[in-house]
Amino acid sequence: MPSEESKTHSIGAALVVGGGIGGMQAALDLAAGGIKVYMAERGPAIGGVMAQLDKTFPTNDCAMCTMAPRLVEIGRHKDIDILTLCEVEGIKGQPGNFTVSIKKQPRFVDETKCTGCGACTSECPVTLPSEFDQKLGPRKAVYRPFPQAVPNVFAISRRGTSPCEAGCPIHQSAQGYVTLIAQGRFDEALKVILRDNPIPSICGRICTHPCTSACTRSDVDDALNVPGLKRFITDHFPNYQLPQPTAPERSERIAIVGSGPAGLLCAYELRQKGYRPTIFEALPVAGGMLAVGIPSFRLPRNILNAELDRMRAIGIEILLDTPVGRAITLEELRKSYAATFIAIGAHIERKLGIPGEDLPGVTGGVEILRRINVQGPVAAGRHVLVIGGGNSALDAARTALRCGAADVTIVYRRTRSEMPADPREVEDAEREGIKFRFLAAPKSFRTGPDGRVAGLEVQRMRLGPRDASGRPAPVPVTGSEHILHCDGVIVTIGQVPDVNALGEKLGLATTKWGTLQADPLTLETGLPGVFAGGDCVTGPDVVVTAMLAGKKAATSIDRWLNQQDLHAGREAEGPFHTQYVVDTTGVLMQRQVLVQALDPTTRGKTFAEVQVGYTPEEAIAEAKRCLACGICCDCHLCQTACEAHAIDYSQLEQKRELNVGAVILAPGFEAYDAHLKKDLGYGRFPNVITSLEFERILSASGPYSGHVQRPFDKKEPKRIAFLQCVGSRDSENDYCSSVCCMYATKEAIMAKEHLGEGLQCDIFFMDLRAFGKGFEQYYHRAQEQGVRYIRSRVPIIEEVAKTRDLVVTYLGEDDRKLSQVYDVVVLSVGMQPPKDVKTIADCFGISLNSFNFCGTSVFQPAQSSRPGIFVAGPFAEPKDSPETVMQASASAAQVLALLKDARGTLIAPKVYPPEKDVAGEEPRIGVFVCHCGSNIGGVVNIPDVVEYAKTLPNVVYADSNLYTCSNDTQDGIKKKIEEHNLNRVVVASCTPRTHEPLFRNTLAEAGLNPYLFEMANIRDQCSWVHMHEPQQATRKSKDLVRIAIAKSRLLQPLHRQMIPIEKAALVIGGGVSGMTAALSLANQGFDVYLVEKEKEIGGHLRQTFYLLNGDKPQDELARLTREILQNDNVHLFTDATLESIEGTIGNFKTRISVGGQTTEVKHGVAIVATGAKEYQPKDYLHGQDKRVMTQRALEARLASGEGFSSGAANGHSQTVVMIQCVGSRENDHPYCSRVCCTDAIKNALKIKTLSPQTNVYVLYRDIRTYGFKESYYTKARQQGVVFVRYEEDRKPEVSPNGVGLQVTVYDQTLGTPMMIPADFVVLSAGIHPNDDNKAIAQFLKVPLNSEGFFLEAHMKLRPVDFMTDGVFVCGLAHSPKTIDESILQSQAAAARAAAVLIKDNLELEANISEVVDQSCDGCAYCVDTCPYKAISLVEYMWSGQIKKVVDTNETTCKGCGCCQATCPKNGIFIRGFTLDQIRAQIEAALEVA
Amino acid sequence: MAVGTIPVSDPTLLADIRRYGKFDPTGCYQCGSCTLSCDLVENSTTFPRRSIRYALLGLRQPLLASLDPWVCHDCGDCSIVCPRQSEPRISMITLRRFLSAQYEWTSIGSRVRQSNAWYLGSLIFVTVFTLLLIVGYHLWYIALAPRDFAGNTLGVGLEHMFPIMTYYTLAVVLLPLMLLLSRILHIWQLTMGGADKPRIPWSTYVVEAWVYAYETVAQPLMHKCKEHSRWLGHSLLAVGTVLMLAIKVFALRWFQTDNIYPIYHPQRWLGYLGAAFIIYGLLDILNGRVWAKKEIYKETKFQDLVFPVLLLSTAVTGLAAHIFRYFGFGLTCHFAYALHVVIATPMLVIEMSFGKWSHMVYRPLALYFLAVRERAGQQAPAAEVVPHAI
Repeated sequence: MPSEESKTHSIGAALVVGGGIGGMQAALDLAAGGIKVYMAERGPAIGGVMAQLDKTFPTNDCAMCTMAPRLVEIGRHKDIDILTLCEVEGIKGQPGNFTVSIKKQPRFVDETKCTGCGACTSECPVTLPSEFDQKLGPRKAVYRPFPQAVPNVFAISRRGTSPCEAGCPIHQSAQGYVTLIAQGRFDEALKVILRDNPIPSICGRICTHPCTSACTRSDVDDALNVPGLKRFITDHFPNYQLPQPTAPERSERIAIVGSGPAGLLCAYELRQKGYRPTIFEALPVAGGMLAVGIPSFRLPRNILNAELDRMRAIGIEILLDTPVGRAITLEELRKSYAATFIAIGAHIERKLGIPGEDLPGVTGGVEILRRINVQGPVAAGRHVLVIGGGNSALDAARTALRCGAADVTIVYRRTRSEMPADPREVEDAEREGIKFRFLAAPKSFRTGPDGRVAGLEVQRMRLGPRDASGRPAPVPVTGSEHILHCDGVIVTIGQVPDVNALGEKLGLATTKWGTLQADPLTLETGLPGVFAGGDCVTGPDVVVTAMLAGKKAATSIDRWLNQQDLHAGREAEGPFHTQYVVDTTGVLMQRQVLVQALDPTTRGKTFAEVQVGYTPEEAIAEAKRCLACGICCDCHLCQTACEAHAIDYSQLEQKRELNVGAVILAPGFEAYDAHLKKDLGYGRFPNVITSLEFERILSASGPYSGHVQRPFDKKEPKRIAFLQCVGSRDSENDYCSSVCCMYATKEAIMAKEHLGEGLQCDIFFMDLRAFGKGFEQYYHRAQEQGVRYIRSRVPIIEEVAKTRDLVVTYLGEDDRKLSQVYDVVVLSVGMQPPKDVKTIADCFGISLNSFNFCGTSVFQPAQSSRPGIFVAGPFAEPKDSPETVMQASASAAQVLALLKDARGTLIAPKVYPPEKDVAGEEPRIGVFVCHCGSNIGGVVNIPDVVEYAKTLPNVVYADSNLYTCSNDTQDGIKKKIEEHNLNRVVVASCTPRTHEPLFRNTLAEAGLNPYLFEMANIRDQCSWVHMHEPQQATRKSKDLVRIAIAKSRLLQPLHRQMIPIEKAALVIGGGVSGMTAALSLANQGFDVYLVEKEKEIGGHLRQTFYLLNGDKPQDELARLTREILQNDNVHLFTDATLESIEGTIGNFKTRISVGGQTTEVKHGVAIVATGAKEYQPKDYLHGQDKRVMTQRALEARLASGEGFSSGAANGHSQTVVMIQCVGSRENDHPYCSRVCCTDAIKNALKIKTLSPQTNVYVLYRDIRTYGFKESYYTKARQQGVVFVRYEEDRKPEVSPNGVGLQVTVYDQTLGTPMMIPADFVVLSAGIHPNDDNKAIAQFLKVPLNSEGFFLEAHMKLRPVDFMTDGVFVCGLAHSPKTIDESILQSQAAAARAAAVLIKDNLELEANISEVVDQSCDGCAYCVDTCPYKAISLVEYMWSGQIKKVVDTNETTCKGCGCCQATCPKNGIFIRGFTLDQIRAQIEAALEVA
Repeated sequence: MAVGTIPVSDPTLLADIRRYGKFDPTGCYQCGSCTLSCDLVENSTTFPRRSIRYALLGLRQPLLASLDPWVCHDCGDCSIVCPRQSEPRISMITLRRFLSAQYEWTSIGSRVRQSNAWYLGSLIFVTVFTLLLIVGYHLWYIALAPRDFAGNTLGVGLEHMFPIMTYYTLAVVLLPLMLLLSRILHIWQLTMGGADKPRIPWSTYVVEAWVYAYETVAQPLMHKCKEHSRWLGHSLLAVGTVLMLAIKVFALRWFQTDNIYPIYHPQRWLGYLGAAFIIYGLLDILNGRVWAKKEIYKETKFQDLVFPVLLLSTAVTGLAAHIFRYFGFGLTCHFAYALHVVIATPMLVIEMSFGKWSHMVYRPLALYFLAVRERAGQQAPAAEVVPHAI
């Protein structure tokens, strides 16, 4: 794309990477601002880590309850595309126009078809540890991470074809049926077997099972006995039947020559496709080599015949004694049959070519086996030699033994390890008494007196170099000839096909080995319509190879008859290899379960089957050894269970490109891998768990259903220890993870709530970092509830061997070593960047900081190092949810400014048909009842409910749907509305919370008012809660449907009101927050009224002279001020006061007074950025002694150059003592001021830079340098700043001391007091709320918290909003915070405000309260009840009297209904929930179905 | 307690300590992992955190009064466990060097410990002095062809060549011992006897006296360390050294003689035993220090190597002289013995008085004092030390 063009055209779309709360917030803010959003999430569902959390601090709200509505909102947002299982591979372009390439992993479930009913998961036999439950609980291979997952679709964990399946020529899903056998699900196992193999009872006995050779288990001990298990299933169901063909019958007849495995498979496959195949068999028995080449003690005749009968039972004709070439010619076949498959096998013996081979007594192995199999036992001699080393040799030898031979010896020219025969067969034969003569090659036969064979001359061999077959070649040893005496010899050195039997000159080409020539892939011969396969093409091979040939032939014939390409896409038919390696470390040794066999000493006399087979118990034990290499076992049960046909195993990795204008990165964090701290025993001691695991244990939806138990023995713990800073604040990770102190506190409180006061919770910590809003109070509450805080880092945990309890040794008072035994130890693991952070950085071309996080700068805190790419959440720095949400909104604000010209270009507003007027019409109700697959239909009798609905008055149509929410059903509903002229719709299905908007939308699309809709939740309330009482569930469903219908009769069309929005914003406060918010909005194109009470803008930034990272705040201040002054959209009022603010969202009126002159401005939103003030301390001689100052005064002093020189007047280096928590964390101001520790360290480091000789002491209570600030704490210590901890009740004392000052402090670590002679004392004074907060709060009808800071709508997820719409908060007015945090919150406020301002009209909710003037007598009960302050009392003159009525502010009303409930006169009601409607519901409820 | 008794933070302490070696626990945030990892920490003795904290806070008097650094046997578990990699073990080594210097009333010790130039200079000085004495003696012997008191001409051989050395050797051993003993009083004053410390009856000192000997030779604390592979070598070295010192001081005649003793004579088996112990112990230590694979042998200083090398050379030359004599190489034996004396003298004078060897006296002494304190605490539980309060 030419760069000129891309510069001018920005794309109105953005990519959000990561679907946690950060990504979600960014997506919602962008979409609200008119930007199309793609959300790329690498997992199968969005939600991030917060979805896994139990409760949130400091409010103890349920995390899932808090975020679920947001999940739903995103899930159904028309402008947000969720791309799950996606990762970004690369990005090109520049800000405004990027091209992003995305790779999507296959889900194996069609997202457009899956309805999330869950039928698949209950069928799935594969159980895995659930990642969502931190591997403490199970999940299935087809799964949804958690019930509220968005998108609400399932996914399959599928690594690819397992080695057994890949190794099998016909790709039987061995893992599939083995897994089912392991669970005792034998009938399903049979179904899986029959899917690919119609002759399993034969394969289970004689297949050479390449699946076992490929088995991963052989890396551990023995391969699985897959054929044994297959045979077990066929033995278990001796009368199983093959599936009847379901395909439409075809007229074409197919001829198959030969009834061996190739012919049988071909016939079966063709029959399943609807063809009628006829098999021509030359012999009097069917089965080919199966029948005549394999002795019955390995494959009993009844087993073979049963398989043949099953073939016949589905319509396969087998003509015996019909040799093609004699009884019927190939030409005749070609004329009468549409296609022919030649599978005549290889039945002609190969000859040794040595003298005496024609002597009586010398026979071929196939010949003797054929004779025995057709005619019954025939003696081969008393002393028999068998020549050869293959399976046929063993079969022949063992048959000879059973035919009465006294001794049988196998003569083979190489050694045992080179024998091509199956080693197990060799062992079996040896057990029966067969002898072996290795390294002996036949030279000639010797004749006996009776003219029969009497001996075999053999020559000794030795092994030479490897030959073409890869085996050592036998080399004759000269002069070693000798004679073996015998009276019978069986030669089994291979066979060739009897091609000539088919007739001469057929046009079929042959090879030099005498086999037929055929295309290896399609099996086509030179003759059109004639295919050939099996031994007659390959030469003698194993049964499963012949079966593959049969299958291939069937496919080719079918394609040929349908004139399709014979070659396309058939590569996977052949054997293929899996791409992955299975990790077998840690798998315990467990040898193969041996198959019972007949006693070898006696079985050699009979033809009874040698192997007895597994018992069910043995089979289950053996099957359980499977290592589940492919994860998904490929049983296809889910596919069968899924009525929506959403399962799609053929999905492959996909790539796509997206065109976006900007990117927001919110890929989240990785919890620290606690295994790395070996001394803490994680992974070794079962009861040492991580905090995230404990979070799941606490959760009601967790692995133990919210019962707090320890993993090892599920015992309820009595003592829990929490170990802080695991993977944080050490030399590897020199940063603080910011959240662990508080989440440990929360987990301790919640654990005590679950298990009662008796539970002992001890938190071992170093510095308790309760720096956030309300955190300090939360910490105190925990202490009051008995949570013990022990200041000791625990380096080592030991386990009590017997009880698996854990011993924690720690340092108590006075450095005493103490030990305590705990039931559970929770490791508070820190936050790490994502494992592949380097790849992410490379992919996006962004740089990382020294901690491998995506560092940002103080004044651009949402900006990555690459323009157009923004960041949010812990990916930038460890942080908590509100900071993540703020940063996400801030990123969105930046994107909205960047793409302001392209806003709305990729978002098409939805157009609905004109609404039908149904006023005055008789209700015509359509009822749609949902099966939800089997989710509802499996319990509730749906047809019954439908029939019942039809009987109810006004119901003109009722029917059921498999999935009412699916896309095609929406079209169906629209059609029915049309056909039956419906004017009310009732859906009986799941919850309105997720689905009501969907159905309302369907009504609107059909031209009906969307409020003419009612829903009955028969899933949650019937099929779920009454799962085991189907009859009652059905009855209740009818009740709910009747109630819904009753209400629907009274439904009236409702309309949402539109209010025009004043497209301007008021920003109160001109500090860094106010300036940033104002600029952010102005850059998005909105007018901003910026009001500052002081003469100059800049706020506290004016007194900030340097920063820890070396940035120059004064330069930034100058830049900000310049931008504010130069921006035409910003209207600045300095030295101004607010006289009044009136109105609500969309329409505020504010009077601003500047120097006595009042201006009135109109605006749609207001942002509170009023800041806070520094506390002016009254103690520590502050104000009395000039040498005692605050940090801010010190900063000014340092900035002015009036530093602390090392060579002071009196010759010694000077000493500065800093005292922390002055005016914070005290009775009057119980909260932490968050920034003072960092500020003190900043100034201490500055002092050390200016004069390294100056001594700096910091007297603190907890050092709260969260996030990367920790590294500056480290730096300060390294530079010699001395940190001394004191307790609140033992505060330091400052007194004058002759020339200087002296500070006395009790060092808590040593337990000793000490005196520090000081030249200066610096107080870290806290941040206190502004005094005029109250007035502003009243103007805007927003609350303050108990400390006097503004109180946001929700502490975690709505940190810049108020409960009052259209008003936002940022900066210090909200709570103490750093500059970058203030900037983030200001940008976030701007993003939230922009979402309001971008719309032309404000669309109000339709279900809100309405006053009935005639009935209202102005008693005003409702005014106080209204939680949203939406109702006010108005008085007006009416017919000469004062009339009092209430008035609802429709923009503020949320339709909660409190007013309607309090009104004694029916003077106020909620639209859509009128008393009549509710009465009708109640009456219907009381009727009897 | 009055403000006057509150210890005053002295920011110069850290600089003083750092003159004796590496002391960089500045990454320390006082988490206590080091103290927890240590197997030798008991209720009354806690380190390294406390000791290091005294130093960091500049609390000089409490640091000088503490015996805890001597309980530390240098295993290095603390350095392994330290989350800040502050290497408390090395800080403890430096603290012991610092303390050893503080115990002295001469300034030689602190100079020798602070500066390798002083250290080497002093060693060379004594070596040269000894060499001069020996050369002078030989010159005198050749020039004057001395006779014994009976008037017989003296022949070649240890007995004839070095009779005066007997007294000289005694001086070389006893002088440093006297110096060391004189410091014991100073240590007692710093740690046990100050005005602010509780009085402990002399009887307690007598009762616990066995601890001193026991700790010197058996070193049970070192065996308590997790890393006790070095215990055998180190305590054998201690036993061997004490044994050799004792027999050389009290039975030098056995050695400075040309007599051939039978194998059962103590001169033979005691001497062999002592030499074997010393050589085994030293090889063990040198092997560890040279490869420095284990935590305990990391951060080896120059003086840590010179001392064992000197001691080993002393043992080897002594043994060589012995072997030469028993194989009848008279003159070779003679020179080997001279060499032995030239090496042994500076080692004894400098190392024992001012160098690394002094820990052999200080460490058992500190452990002995701690045992005394503990017993005193047991006898008079009421007299518990009340922590300072503001």
